[in-house]
Amino acid sequence: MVLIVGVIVLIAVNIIILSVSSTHQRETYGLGRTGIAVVAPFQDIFSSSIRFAGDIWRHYFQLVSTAKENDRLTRQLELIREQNLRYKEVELSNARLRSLLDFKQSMNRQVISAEVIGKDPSPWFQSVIIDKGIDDGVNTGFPVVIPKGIVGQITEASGHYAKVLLLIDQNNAVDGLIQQTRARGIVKGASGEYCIFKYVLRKHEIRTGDIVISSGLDAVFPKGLRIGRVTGVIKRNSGIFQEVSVTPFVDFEKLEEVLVILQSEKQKVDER
Amino acid sequence: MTVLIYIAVSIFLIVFQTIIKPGIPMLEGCYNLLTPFIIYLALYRPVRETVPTVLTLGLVMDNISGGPFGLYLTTYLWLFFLIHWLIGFLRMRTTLLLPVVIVAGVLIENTVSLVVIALLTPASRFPEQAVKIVAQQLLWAGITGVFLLGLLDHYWKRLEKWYGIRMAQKRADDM
Repeated sequence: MVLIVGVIVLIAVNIIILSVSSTHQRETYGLGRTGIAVVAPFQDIFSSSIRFAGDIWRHYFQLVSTAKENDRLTRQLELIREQNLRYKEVELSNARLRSLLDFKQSMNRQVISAEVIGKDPSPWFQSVIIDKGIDDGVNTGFPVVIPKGIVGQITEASGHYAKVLLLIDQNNAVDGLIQQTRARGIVKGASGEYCIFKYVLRKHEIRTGDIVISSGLDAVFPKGLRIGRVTGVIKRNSGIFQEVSVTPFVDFEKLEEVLVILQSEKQKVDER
Repeated sequence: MTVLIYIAVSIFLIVFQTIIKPGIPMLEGCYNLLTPFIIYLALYRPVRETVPTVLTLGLVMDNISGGPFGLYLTTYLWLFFLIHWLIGFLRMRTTLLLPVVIVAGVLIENTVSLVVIALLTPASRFPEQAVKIVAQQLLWAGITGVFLLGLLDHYWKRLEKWYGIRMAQKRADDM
Protein backbone atom coordinates (compact mmCIF):
# COMPACT_ATOMS: atom_id res chain seq x y z
CA MET A 1 0.00 0.00 0.00
CA VAL A 2 2.83 2.31 0.98
CA LEU A 3 4.57 1.43 -2.34
CA ILE A 4 1.51 2.36 -4.38
CA VAL A 5 1.13 5.65 -2.55
CA GLY A 6 4.87 6.33 -3.03
CA VAL A 7 4.62 5.69 -6.80
CA ILE A 8 1.56 7.94 -7.11
CA VAL A 9 3.33 10.70 -5.19
CA LEU A 10 6.44 10.32 -7.41
CA ILE A 11 4.32 10.53 -10.56
CA ALA A 12 2.53 13.58 -9.24
CA VAL A 13 5.79 15.30 -8.26
CA ASN A 14 7.25 14.45 -11.67
CA ILE A 15 4.28 15.90 -13.47
CA ILE A 16 4.43 19.06 -11.38
CA ILE A 17 8.17 19.48 -12.01
CA LEU A 18 7.71 18.92 -15.76
CA SER A 19 4.86 21.37 -15.97
CA VAL A 20 6.79 23.95 -13.97
CA SER A 21 9.99 23.48 -16.09
CA SER A 22 8.05 23.69 -19.32
CA THR A 23 6.45 26.98 -18.37
CA HIS A 24 9.69 28.55 -16.99
CA GLN A 25 12.61 28.04 -19.47
CA ARG A 26 15.96 28.40 -17.74
CA GLU A 27 19.56 28.45 -18.94
CA THR A 28 21.35 25.13 -18.78
CA TYR A 29 24.29 24.86 -16.49
CA GLY A 30 26.89 22.26 -15.81
CA LEU A 31 26.47 18.92 -17.56
CA GLY A 32 23.94 20.12 -20.12
CA ARG A 33 26.30 22.86 -21.24
CA THR A 34 29.27 20.50 -21.39
CA GLY A 35 27.24 18.01 -23.37
CA ILE A 36 26.38 20.60 -25.94
CA ALA A 37 30.01 21.71 -26.16
CA VAL A 38 31.17 18.16 -26.75
CA VAL A 39 28.49 16.95 -29.11
CA ALA A 40 27.82 20.07 -31.14
CA PRO A 41 31.15 20.15 -33.03
CA PHE A 42 30.58 16.56 -34.17
CA GLN A 43 27.07 17.40 -35.14
CA ASP A 44 28.37 20.40 -36.96
CA ILE A 45 31.01 18.38 -38.80
CA PHE A 46 28.57 15.63 -39.75
CA SER A 47 25.77 17.94 -40.76
CA SER A 48 28.22 20.07 -42.79
CA SER A 49 29.62 16.95 -44.45
CA ILE A 50 26.16 15.68 -45.26
CA ARG A 51 25.15 19.11 -46.57
CA PHE A 52 28.39 19.29 -48.60
CA ALA A 53 27.82 15.85 -50.08
CA GLY A 54 24.22 16.76 -50.79
CA ASP A 55 25.30 19.97 -52.45
CA ILE A 56 27.88 18.17 -54.59
CA TRP A 57 25.32 15.60 -55.62
CA ARG A 58 22.69 18.22 -56.39
CA HIS A 59 25.22 20.49 -58.18
CA TYR A 60 26.62 17.62 -60.20
CA PHE A 61 23.23 16.89 -61.64
CA GLN A 62 22.59 20.57 -62.02
CA LEU A 63 25.96 20.97 -63.83
CA VAL A 64 25.26 18.06 -66.11
CA SER A 65 21.91 19.50 -67.07
CA THR A 66 23.45 23.01 -67.36
CA ALA A 67 26.22 21.67 -69.61
CA LYS A 68 23.64 19.93 -71.75
CA GLU A 69 21.56 23.08 -71.92
CA ASN A 70 24.68 25.10 -72.68
CA ASP A 71 25.53 22.78 -75.57
CA ARG A 72 21.99 23.02 -76.88
CA LEU A 73 21.95 26.83 -76.60
CA THR A 74 25.39 27.14 -78.22
CA ARG A 75 24.20 25.02 -81.14
CA GLN A 76 21.03 27.09 -81.37
CA LEU A 77 23.05 30.31 -81.29
CA GLU A 78 25.34 29.06 -84.05
CA LEU A 79 22.32 28.13 -86.11
CA ILE A 80 20.73 31.52 -85.56
CA ARG A 81 23.99 33.29 -86.36
CA GLU A 82 24.28 31.34 -89.60
CA GLN A 83 20.65 32.09 -90.40
CA ASN A 84 21.19 35.75 -89.61
CA LEU A 85 24.20 35.85 -91.89
CA ARG A 86 22.19 34.22 -94.65
CA TYR A 87 19.34 36.71 -94.19
CA LYS A 88 21.81 39.59 -94.25
CA GLU A 89 23.32 38.23 -97.46
CA VAL A 90 19.85 37.83 -98.98
CA GLU A 91 18.98 41.37 -97.92
CA LEU A 92 22.15 42.76 -99.50
CA SER A 93 21.62 40.71 -102.63
CA ASN A 94 18.01 41.90 -102.73
CA ALA A 95 19.11 45.54 -102.52
CA ARG A 96 21.68 45.03 -105.28
CA LEU A 97 19.21 43.25 -107.53
CA ARG A 98 16.52 45.87 -106.84
CA SER A 99 18.87 48.64 -107.89
CA LEU A 100 19.85 46.57 -110.94
CA LEU A 101 16.18 46.09 -111.78
CA ASP A 102 15.42 49.80 -111.38
CA PHE A 103 18.34 50.56 -113.67
CA LYS A 104 17.20 47.88 -116.13
CA GLN A 105 13.72 49.43 -116.27
CA SER A 106 15.15 52.91 -116.73
CA MET A 107 17.06 51.79 -119.83
CA ASN A 108 15.23 51.75 -123.10
CA ARG A 109 17.26 48.80 -124.35
CA GLN A 110 17.11 45.08 -123.99
CA VAL A 111 19.42 43.97 -121.23
CA ILE A 112 20.21 40.72 -119.47
CA SER A 113 21.53 40.34 -115.95
CA ALA A 114 24.50 38.10 -115.30
CA GLU A 115 26.50 36.98 -112.33
CA VAL A 116 30.26 37.26 -112.05
CA ILE A 117 31.62 33.74 -111.56
CA GLY A 118 35.36 34.20 -111.88
CA LYS A 119 38.10 36.79 -111.93
CA ASP A 120 41.25 37.15 -113.99
CA PRO A 121 44.03 34.92 -112.68
CA SER A 122 46.67 37.49 -113.63
CA PRO A 123 47.35 40.73 -111.77
CA TRP A 124 48.39 42.34 -115.07
CA PHE A 125 45.02 42.03 -116.82
CA GLN A 126 41.56 42.97 -115.64
CA SER A 127 38.71 40.75 -116.74
CA VAL A 128 35.88 38.70 -115.27
CA ILE A 129 33.86 35.70 -116.41
CA ILE A 130 30.05 35.98 -116.34
CA ASP A 131 27.43 33.24 -116.45
CA LYS A 132 25.69 34.34 -119.66
CA GLY A 133 26.86 33.51 -123.16
CA ILE A 134 25.88 33.19 -126.79
CA ASP A 135 22.87 30.98 -125.92
CA ASP A 136 21.51 33.85 -123.81
CA GLY A 137 22.00 36.36 -126.60
CA VAL A 138 25.32 37.73 -125.36
CA ASN A 139 27.99 38.33 -127.97
CA THR A 140 31.42 39.87 -128.45
CA GLY A 141 31.46 43.65 -128.25
CA PHE A 142 28.37 44.01 -126.07
CA PRO A 143 28.62 46.65 -123.34
CA VAL A 144 28.42 45.61 -119.70
CA VAL A 145 27.12 48.03 -117.08
CA ILE A 146 25.77 48.34 -113.53
CA PRO A 147 23.71 51.19 -112.04
CA LYS A 148 26.90 52.88 -110.81
CA GLY A 149 28.44 53.01 -114.28
CA ILE A 150 30.27 51.25 -117.09
CA VAL A 151 31.90 47.91 -116.24
CA GLY A 152 33.48 46.92 -119.56
CA GLN A 153 32.73 45.02 -122.71
CA ILE A 154 32.42 41.41 -123.80
CA THR A 155 35.59 40.21 -125.50
CA GLU A 156 34.79 36.53 -125.80
CA ALA A 157 31.62 34.52 -125.52
CA SER A 158 30.94 30.80 -125.41
CA GLY A 159 27.64 28.91 -125.04
CA HIS A 160 26.76 29.91 -121.50
CA TYR A 161 29.67 32.06 -120.41
CA ALA A 162 31.43 35.20 -121.53
CA LYS A 163 34.59 37.13 -120.72
CA VAL A 164 34.25 40.81 -119.85
CA LEU A 165 37.26 43.06 -120.30
CA LEU A 166 36.97 45.60 -117.49
CA LEU A 167 37.14 49.33 -117.99
CA ILE A 168 40.37 49.49 -115.96
CA ASP A 169 42.24 47.06 -118.26
CA GLN A 170 44.96 48.67 -120.38
CA ASN A 171 43.39 47.24 -123.54
CA ASN A 172 40.00 48.82 -122.92
CA ALA A 173 38.88 52.27 -124.01
CA VAL A 174 35.60 54.19 -123.99
CA ASP A 175 34.84 57.40 -125.84
CA GLY A 176 33.83 59.82 -123.11
CA LEU A 177 33.06 63.43 -122.33
CA ILE A 178 33.03 65.67 -119.31
CA GLN A 179 29.39 66.13 -118.31
CA GLN A 180 29.74 69.82 -117.36
CA THR A 181 32.03 71.15 -120.11
CA ARG A 182 31.33 68.51 -122.82
CA ALA A 183 35.10 68.16 -123.40
CA ARG A 184 35.73 64.95 -125.32
CA GLY A 185 38.43 62.32 -124.94
CA ILE A 186 39.14 58.61 -124.62
CA VAL A 187 38.89 56.95 -121.23
CA LYS A 188 41.54 54.24 -121.13
CA GLY A 189 42.35 51.69 -118.47
CA ALA A 190 45.62 52.17 -116.63
CA SER A 191 45.98 48.69 -115.20
CA GLY A 192 45.27 49.96 -111.73
CA GLU A 193 42.15 51.18 -110.01
CA TYR A 194 41.90 54.31 -112.13
CA CYS A 195 41.69 55.28 -115.81
CA ILE A 196 43.31 57.94 -117.95
CA PHE A 197 41.18 60.40 -119.87
CA LYS A 198 43.32 60.82 -122.98
CA TYR A 199 43.34 63.25 -125.87
CA VAL A 200 41.52 66.04 -124.03
CA LEU A 201 42.50 69.38 -125.55
CA ARG A 202 44.34 71.84 -123.32
CA LYS A 203 41.81 74.56 -124.03
CA HIS A 204 39.11 72.76 -122.01
CA GLU A 205 38.80 73.71 -118.39
CA ILE A 206 38.59 70.50 -116.39
CA ARG A 207 38.36 70.42 -112.63
CA THR A 208 38.79 67.67 -110.05
CA GLY A 209 35.39 66.21 -109.25
CA ASP A 210 33.95 66.63 -112.77
CA ILE A 211 31.92 63.66 -113.94
CA VAL A 212 32.90 61.72 -117.06
CA ILE A 213 30.15 60.02 -119.09
CA SER A 214 30.15 57.98 -122.29
CA SER A 215 29.73 59.96 -125.50
CA GLY A 216 28.20 57.14 -127.51
CA LEU A 217 30.64 57.82 -130.34
CA ASP A 218 32.63 54.60 -129.94
CA ALA A 219 29.73 52.55 -131.31
CA VAL A 220 29.83 50.32 -128.26
CA PHE A 221 28.45 52.16 -125.24
CA PRO A 222 25.20 54.15 -125.31
CA LYS A 223 25.52 57.87 -124.67
CA GLY A 224 25.23 59.19 -121.13
CA LEU A 225 26.41 56.22 -119.09
CA ARG A 226 28.43 57.22 -116.05
CA ILE A 227 32.14 56.34 -116.18
CA GLY A 228 33.88 58.06 -113.29
CA ARG A 229 35.00 61.20 -111.56
CA VAL A 230 38.06 63.32 -112.43
CA THR A 231 40.64 62.93 -109.69
CA GLY A 232 43.64 64.68 -111.21
CA VAL A 233 44.48 67.13 -113.99
CA ILE A 234 47.98 67.86 -115.27
CA LYS A 235 48.46 70.63 -117.83
CA ARG A 236 52.02 70.65 -119.10
CA ASN A 237 53.67 73.71 -120.62
CA SER A 238 53.94 72.00 -123.99
CA GLY A 239 51.65 69.69 -125.95
CA ILE A 240 48.11 70.04 -127.15
CA PHE A 241 46.51 67.64 -124.69
CA GLN A 242 46.20 67.59 -120.93
CA GLU A 243 46.59 64.56 -118.67
CA VAL A 244 43.44 63.70 -116.77
CA SER A 245 43.04 60.79 -114.39
CA VAL A 246 39.59 59.38 -113.72
CA THR A 247 38.47 57.13 -110.87
CA PRO A 248 35.64 54.86 -112.06
CA PHE A 249 32.36 54.85 -110.15
CA VAL A 250 32.31 51.08 -110.28
CA ASP A 251 34.16 49.20 -107.55
CA PHE A 252 35.65 46.40 -109.63
CA GLU A 253 36.76 44.47 -106.55
CA LYS A 254 33.16 44.07 -105.40
CA LEU A 255 31.55 43.25 -108.72
CA GLU A 256 28.90 40.55 -108.30
CA GLU A 257 26.01 41.14 -110.71
CA VAL A 258 26.14 43.01 -113.99
CA LEU A 259 23.84 43.91 -116.88
CA VAL A 260 24.78 43.14 -120.45
CA ILE A 261 23.20 45.46 -123.02
CA LEU A 262 22.09 43.08 -125.74
CA GLN A 263 22.88 45.39 -128.60
CA SER A 264 25.93 47.53 -129.14
CA GLU A 265 25.57 51.03 -130.62
CA LYS A 266 27.13 49.74 -133.86
CA GLN A 267 24.48 47.05 -134.26
CA LYS A 268 21.76 49.59 -133.54
CA VAL A 269 23.12 51.87 -136.25
CA ASP A 270 23.49 48.91 -138.65
CA GLU A 271 19.86 47.95 -138.06
CA ARG A 272 18.69 51.45 -138.95
CA MET B 1 44.32 7.36 -113.16
CA THR B 2 47.27 9.68 -113.79
CA VAL B 3 45.16 11.63 -116.26
CA LEU B 4 42.43 11.99 -113.63
CA ILE B 5 44.93 13.33 -111.10
CA TYR B 6 46.23 15.85 -113.65
CA ILE B 7 42.68 16.99 -114.42
CA ALA B 8 41.63 17.20 -110.76
CA VAL B 9 44.70 19.14 -109.66
CA SER B 10 44.47 21.50 -112.64
CA ILE B 11 40.78 22.24 -112.09
CA PHE B 12 41.28 22.74 -108.36
CA LEU B 13 44.16 25.18 -108.92
CA ILE B 14 42.29 27.16 -111.60
CA VAL B 15 39.14 27.41 -109.47
CA PHE B 16 41.19 28.42 -106.45
CA GLN B 17 43.06 30.98 -108.52
CA THR B 18 39.97 32.61 -110.07
CA ILE B 19 37.26 32.25 -107.44
CA ILE B 20 38.65 31.55 -103.98
CA LYS B 21 41.86 33.60 -104.05
CA PRO B 22 40.25 36.92 -105.11
CA GLY B 23 37.88 36.58 -102.15
CA ILE B 24 40.69 36.31 -99.59
CA PRO B 25 42.30 39.73 -99.10
CA MET B 26 45.30 38.14 -97.39
CA LEU B 27 46.21 36.32 -100.61
CA GLU B 28 46.01 39.45 -102.74
CA GLY B 29 49.74 39.54 -103.43
CA CYS B 30 50.09 35.79 -103.88
CA TYR B 31 51.59 34.38 -107.09
CA ASN B 32 49.90 32.25 -109.74
CA LEU B 33 49.50 28.86 -108.05
CA LEU B 34 49.83 27.07 -111.36
CA THR B 35 53.50 28.11 -111.49
CA PRO B 36 54.61 25.68 -108.73
CA PHE B 37 52.47 23.03 -110.40
CA ILE B 38 54.30 23.52 -113.70
CA ILE B 39 57.60 23.45 -111.82
CA TYR B 40 56.54 20.27 -110.06
CA LEU B 41 55.72 18.68 -113.41
CA ALA B 42 59.07 19.78 -114.83
CA LEU B 43 60.95 18.42 -111.82
CA TYR B 44 59.23 15.18 -110.98
CA ARG B 45 57.07 13.92 -113.84
CA PRO B 46 58.01 12.38 -117.20
CA VAL B 47 58.01 14.78 -120.17
CA ARG B 48 55.60 12.75 -122.35
CA GLU B 49 53.01 12.98 -119.56
CA THR B 50 53.45 16.61 -118.71
CA VAL B 51 53.77 18.42 -122.04
CA PRO B 52 50.07 17.87 -122.94
CA THR B 53 49.10 19.06 -119.45
CA VAL B 54 51.24 22.19 -119.73
CA LEU B 55 49.75 22.92 -123.18
CA THR B 56 46.18 22.40 -121.94
CA LEU B 57 46.75 24.54 -118.83
CA GLY B 58 48.23 27.32 -120.96
CA LEU B 59 45.25 27.25 -123.34
CA VAL B 60 42.69 27.24 -120.53
CA MET B 61 44.37 30.10 -118.72
CA ASP B 62 44.60 32.08 -121.95
CA ASN B 63 40.87 31.60 -122.40
CA ILE B 64 39.89 32.85 -118.97
CA SER B 65 42.39 35.69 -118.75
CA GLY B 66 42.05 39.15 -120.25
CA GLY B 67 45.61 39.05 -121.61
CA PRO B 68 46.58 38.44 -125.23
CA PHE B 69 45.90 34.89 -126.38
CA GLY B 70 48.98 32.69 -126.13
CA LEU B 71 50.56 34.53 -123.23
CA TYR B 72 50.06 31.77 -120.68
CA LEU B 73 50.83 29.09 -123.24
CA THR B 74 54.16 30.77 -124.00
CA THR B 75 54.92 31.41 -120.33
CA TYR B 76 54.18 27.88 -119.17
CA LEU B 77 56.09 26.22 -122.01
CA TRP B 78 59.12 28.44 -121.43
CA LEU B 79 58.91 27.86 -117.70
CA PHE B 80 58.57 24.11 -118.10
CA PHE B 81 61.46 23.67 -120.51
CA LEU B 82 63.73 26.14 -118.68
CA ILE B 83 63.27 24.40 -115.35
CA HIS B 84 63.62 20.99 -116.99
CA TRP B 85 66.81 22.06 -118.71
CA LEU B 86 68.19 23.82 -115.64
CA ILE B 87 67.75 20.78 -113.43
CA GLY B 88 69.29 18.55 -116.10
CA PHE B 89 72.15 20.99 -116.53
CA LEU B 90 72.88 21.31 -112.84
CA ARG B 91 72.28 17.58 -112.34
CA MET B 92 70.78 18.19 -108.93
CA ARG B 93 67.35 18.07 -107.43
CA THR B 94 68.26 19.13 -103.94
CA THR B 95 65.61 20.61 -101.66
CA LEU B 96 67.89 23.58 -100.97
CA LEU B 97 67.59 24.63 -104.58
CA LEU B 98 63.79 24.43 -104.67
CA PRO B 99 62.96 27.90 -103.23
CA VAL B 100 65.32 29.43 -105.79
CA VAL B 101 63.70 27.46 -108.60
CA ILE B 102 60.19 28.56 -107.55
CA VAL B 103 61.18 32.20 -107.12
CA ALA B 104 62.88 32.04 -110.54
CA GLY B 105 59.70 30.49 -112.00
CA VAL B 106 57.48 33.27 -110.64
CA LEU B 107 59.97 35.86 -111.88
CA ILE B 108 60.01 34.28 -115.37
CA GLU B 109 56.20 34.30 -115.51
CA ASN B 110 55.93 37.96 -114.52
CA THR B 111 58.76 39.00 -116.83
CA VAL B 112 57.09 37.31 -119.82
CA SER B 113 53.75 39.02 -118.97
CA LEU B 114 55.33 42.45 -118.66
CA VAL B 115 57.39 42.04 -121.83
CA VAL B 116 54.28 40.94 -123.74
CA ILE B 117 52.31 43.94 -122.42
CA ALA B 118 55.12 46.27 -123.45
CA LEU B 119 55.47 44.70 -126.92
CA LEU B 120 51.82 44.22 -127.85
CA THR B 121 50.42 47.42 -126.38
CA PRO B 122 53.20 49.98 -126.86
CA ALA B 123 50.91 52.85 -125.91
CA SER B 124 50.26 51.32 -122.53
CA ARG B 125 51.91 52.60 -119.42
CA PHE B 126 54.25 50.48 -117.35
CA PRO B 127 51.99 49.38 -114.50
CA GLU B 128 52.79 51.62 -111.54
CA GLN B 129 52.33 48.85 -109.04
CA ALA B 130 54.50 46.42 -111.05
CA VAL B 131 57.52 46.45 -108.74
CA LYS B 132 55.35 46.03 -105.66
CA ILE B 133 53.29 43.22 -107.25
CA VAL B 134 56.37 41.31 -108.42
CA ALA B 135 58.16 41.78 -105.07
CA GLN B 136 55.11 40.51 -103.17
CA GLN B 137 54.80 37.50 -105.44
CA LEU B 138 58.49 36.63 -105.08
CA LEU B 139 58.21 36.86 -101.31
CA TRP B 140 55.16 34.61 -101.29
CA ALA B 141 56.91 32.18 -103.63
CA GLY B 142 60.04 32.10 -101.46
CA ILE B 143 58.04 31.37 -98.33
CA THR B 144 55.30 29.04 -99.52
CA GLY B 145 56.61 27.56 -102.77
CA VAL B 146 58.55 24.67 -101.29
CA PHE B 147 55.68 23.82 -98.99
CA LEU B 148 53.29 23.71 -101.96
CA LEU B 149 55.67 21.53 -103.95
CA GLY B 150 56.03 19.19 -100.98
CA LEU B 151 52.26 19.02 -100.59
CA LEU B 152 51.78 18.22 -104.27
CA ASP B 153 54.49 15.56 -104.21
CA HIS B 154 53.14 13.98 -101.03
CA TYR B 155 49.51 13.75 -102.16
CA TRP B 156 50.40 12.71 -105.69
CA LYS B 157 52.45 9.80 -104.37
CA ARG B 158 49.71 8.83 -101.91
CA LEU B 159 47.08 8.85 -104.63
CA GLU B 160 49.26 6.72 -106.90
CA LYS B 161 50.00 4.31 -104.05
CA TRP B 162 46.31 4.06 -103.15
CA TYR B 163 45.43 3.41 -106.77
CA GLY B 164 48.19 0.77 -107.07
CA ILE B 165 46.91 -1.06 -104.01
CA ARG B 166 43.32 -0.94 -105.31
CA MET B 167 44.37 -2.29 -108.67
CA ALA B 168 46.38 -5.09 -107.06
CA GLN B 169 43.36 -6.02 -104.92
CA LYS B 170 41.11 -6.01 -107.95
CA ARG B 171 43.51 -8.25 -109.85
CA ALA B 172 43.68 -10.62 -106.86
CA ASP B 173 39.86 -10.70 -106.64
CA ASP B 174 39.57 -11.44 -110.35
CA MET B 175 41.97 -14.37 -110.04
